Amino acid sequence: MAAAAGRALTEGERAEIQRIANRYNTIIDVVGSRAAGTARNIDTDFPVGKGVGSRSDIDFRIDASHPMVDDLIQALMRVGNGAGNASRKHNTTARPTAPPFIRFAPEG
Amino acid sequence: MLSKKNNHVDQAFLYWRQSQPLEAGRLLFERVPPEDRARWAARILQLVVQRTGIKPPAIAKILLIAGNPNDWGRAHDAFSHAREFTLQLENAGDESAGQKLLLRLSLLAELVAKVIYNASHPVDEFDKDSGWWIAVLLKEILDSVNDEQFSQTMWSALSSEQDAKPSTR
Repeated sequence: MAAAAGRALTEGERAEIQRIANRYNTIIDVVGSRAAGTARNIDTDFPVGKGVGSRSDIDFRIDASHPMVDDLIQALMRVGNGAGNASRKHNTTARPTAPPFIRFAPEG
Repeated sequence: MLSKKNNHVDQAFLYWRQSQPLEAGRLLFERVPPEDRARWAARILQLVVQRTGIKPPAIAKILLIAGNPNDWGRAHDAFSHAREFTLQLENAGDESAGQKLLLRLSLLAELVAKVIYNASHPVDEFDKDSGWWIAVLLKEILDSVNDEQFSQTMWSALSSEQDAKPSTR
């Protein structure tokens, strides 16, 4: 795993993702600008987007063969007040996640 | 009778004039054939650079890569350089008109780099809506430049390359 900390995830977002990983007992990878540490305006309540005055979304890769994958996706989409971006297409079983990524594994 | 092409361009123009550029961008980008998207996006960036006279190294690199399809896979690195430049501008907090224009241009360049990279058919493609946002940044740039002739030129560029049917993506 290789990820910068400065512009990655807020503490609240980290806690949300970890809770989801625990609840669904699955590994969740964060990729994209959040993992690269180059995300924009993450500590704001700006709308998610790609323009001026927006904040970066959170791109996830998941195990799309999970028996509750649709619920998992819905839960991830709500992370960061709707900043999450997840789908069956971004699937860790199709190919391993390439760096940089931030991995959340189930705890306990 | 309007053709399918005119129908969706007319609808996009309504969105554009009604300050809904993301909707306009979605309609237009999805009708650009995938094989033409990199060229379409780069042309928009090139025209803005020509009009504004602003061409920092990060943007010059993207335009250089756009010219050679064999290099499109390098657009990911070019995006990263543009993002670094964007973050520098945002951190500087300079609210002058010139710096705001530069920030918008840098964000536009990021999007163009994403579209170019996606055209190389990578496994780790950027968000598919990156191309939609080109219209958003372009509208903001045009509003700040306030040049009617240039606005018409850019609308023509934005609504060009239109296929007669929706993309199958």
